[in-house]
Amino acid sequence: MTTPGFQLTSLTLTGQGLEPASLIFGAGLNVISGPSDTGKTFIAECIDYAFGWSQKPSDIPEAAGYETVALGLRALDSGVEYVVERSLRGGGAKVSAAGQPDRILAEKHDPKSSETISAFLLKLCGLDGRVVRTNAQGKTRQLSFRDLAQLIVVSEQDIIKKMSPARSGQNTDKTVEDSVFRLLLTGVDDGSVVAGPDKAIVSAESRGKAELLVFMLEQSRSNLELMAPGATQAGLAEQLVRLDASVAEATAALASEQGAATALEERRRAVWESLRESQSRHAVLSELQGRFTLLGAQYESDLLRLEAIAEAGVRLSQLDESRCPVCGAEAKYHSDEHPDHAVAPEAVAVACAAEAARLRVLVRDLGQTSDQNAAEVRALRDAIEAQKREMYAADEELKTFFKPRLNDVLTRLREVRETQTRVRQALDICSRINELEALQSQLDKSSPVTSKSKFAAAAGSSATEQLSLKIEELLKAWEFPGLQRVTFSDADQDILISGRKRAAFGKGVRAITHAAFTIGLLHYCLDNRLPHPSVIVIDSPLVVYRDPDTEEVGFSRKLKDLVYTTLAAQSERGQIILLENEDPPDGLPATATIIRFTGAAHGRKGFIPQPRARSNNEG
Amino acid sequence: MTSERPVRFTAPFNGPIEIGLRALAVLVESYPSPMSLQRLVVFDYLLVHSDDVPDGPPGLHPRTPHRSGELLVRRQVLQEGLSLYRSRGLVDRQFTPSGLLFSATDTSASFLDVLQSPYAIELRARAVWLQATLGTVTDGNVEALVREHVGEWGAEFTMESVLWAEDSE
Repeated sequence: MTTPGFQLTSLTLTGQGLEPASLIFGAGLNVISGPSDTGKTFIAECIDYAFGWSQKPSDIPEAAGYETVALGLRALDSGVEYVVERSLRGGGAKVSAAGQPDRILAEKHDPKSSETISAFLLKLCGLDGRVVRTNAQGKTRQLSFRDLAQLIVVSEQDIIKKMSPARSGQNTDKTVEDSVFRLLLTGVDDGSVVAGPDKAIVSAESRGKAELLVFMLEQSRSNLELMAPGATQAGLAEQLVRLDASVAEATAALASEQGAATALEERRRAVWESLRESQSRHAVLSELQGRFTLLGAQYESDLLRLEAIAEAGVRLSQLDESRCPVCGAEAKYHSDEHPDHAVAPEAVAVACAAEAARLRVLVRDLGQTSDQNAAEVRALRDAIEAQKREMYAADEELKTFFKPRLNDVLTRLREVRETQTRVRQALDICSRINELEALQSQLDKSSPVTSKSKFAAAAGSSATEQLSLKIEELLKAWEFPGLQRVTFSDADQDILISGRKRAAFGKGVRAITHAAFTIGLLHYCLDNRLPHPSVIVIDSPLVVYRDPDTEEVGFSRKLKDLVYTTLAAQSERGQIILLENEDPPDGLPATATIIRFTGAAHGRKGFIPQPRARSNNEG
Repeated sequence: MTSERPVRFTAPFNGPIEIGLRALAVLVESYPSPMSLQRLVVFDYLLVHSDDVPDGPPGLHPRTPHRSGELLVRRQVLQEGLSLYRSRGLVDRQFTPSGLLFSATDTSASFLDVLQSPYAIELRARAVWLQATLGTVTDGNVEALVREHVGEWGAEFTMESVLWAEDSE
């Protein structure tokens, strides 16, 4: 990018059946002078309209019937000549150039589209895709050509305003305007700025958080009062330490009591085991004893029976056998002996005696066994009694001595533990309160993001210093009366001339110094190879109102002439189009383009030609 | 138990002489009325286990477990006993329309009078009591009585399982 920007070549107004209204511009200084109502302001409006202004040019009666405004411009780096055409009714524009297809451009800037008037013009300036800040929190958007418009097309109202030339006066636009101004001064945009949260939202969030914290703190504090009235965190902590010690002590006591009881319980259990054994054995042996008794009775009975059987046998044998004892046949009919018949009564007596002897031995043996068993049964009974007594004694001891002590210790332990739990819970609430209080103070400290902070300083005092120097140069060349230093006020984004704020001067001085500011900015950018459209249109910078201002006493015709002559001499430093009531002085170099409207019948009356009788070939 | 011995050996207990003696004692008290073999079986049991009858005199034999089984095994030996005593003319056998019946003879009582052993004397006393108590009860009712009580006779030893457990160790 060698020479960014463009130069206006022509402005043409066309309408069906009407003679076109046309102006041809040259490089460097262009002066269009003439009385009021010759269309000077209308010219400035048309140029700005072609630059994508949403406001249509004033509806002056001379412009009735004209439909299209066409602005010719030449890109300074490529030399390509464009024509930007726009209907006076509104809508977008058409851009045409030799050897290129026509482009339809939308009126409004759209970061997503390159087919807008703004994008087209910004590209010519080398300012396309730039980013500017829109609010103090660092929100950003893409630069639009309209952001530059007020710095390059100055209307006759704006020229006398008290605000800085870089500002429109809308407080909400201040950040953007300062950012745009900074961009031109430094060539650095705000693309790297990260947006912080919206101040209003942050503030609302903070309030909400603060309220919630207050509520939670109140709740926690009242819970604490309920649980441990009048307690402090330190006090509770101390209490907990003491309680822990109590618990340990009680636990130890419990262990020792249990230990002592354990020995006794062991013994009791051992006794219980042997008691059960004894009882079981006793049951068995008692049963056995019963059997022995029965057996003894059996033996006794058997002995008696043997005696009786022996006697009966003897007596039977003394009787004659009248019949066979086996088959019952009478003797006289009986011849053979039966095999296998029952033993003869005689033999039975002998058998009985033998059997009785055997029995008596058994009786004796049984007697011994039985006695032994009986003795053991008796011994067991005694043992059982003794063991029962022993167990009973142990039970008694456990019950009367150990149990109460154990219960005491257990109760004590339980109580201490309960208190311990309560204290712990209270301490939990305390730490919760601490946390909440910490959050609260944290919240109080952090104020919502105010990044009126240091971003703004990035403009760098050197840039504004240099700008001030350029403006000073211009004013010096124009022989501004009483000129000392020109300095810059960051707060106002405006200059101070000889220590006095620009806004504090009268409107005539304000107009001239506004022009100096605007032209100074152009020179500054050109000299420092910073992007700038390289064209400025200023409406009525030198007009002085009829009513003399006491401030204006020092003005002379000389200043106005010097303005023209100095600007005319610098035709290589951008294109400057001035619209003025009074004619410029004669003798300006040929490099300056002078267009005079007469407002009368001779010469060119005004911008828009008088309507002539229509002929088919014109229009 | 020692009372249960197979009949084939020369064991005098519950042999024909003893059983026949007991039957004779019973028949003498019911003389001249005859009795069936089955009635004699029951009466023989009740004679020696008189304490199994409520309010009966003390039993001659001990109350052994499962003694009611004696009712089942007596029949054979009873027959042999009756045959033995019949061979000496002390028991008479009759065939009647009611079946086979046995009775004492006119010499039976004097035979018993001769016996002096204490057991025999006690036996005769029991026989008197038995005849007085059940003499008029019909055979059918006697059977009914037995059936009713047979489960109890010999079922006193409930802890027997304890002894079996001891034995198995």
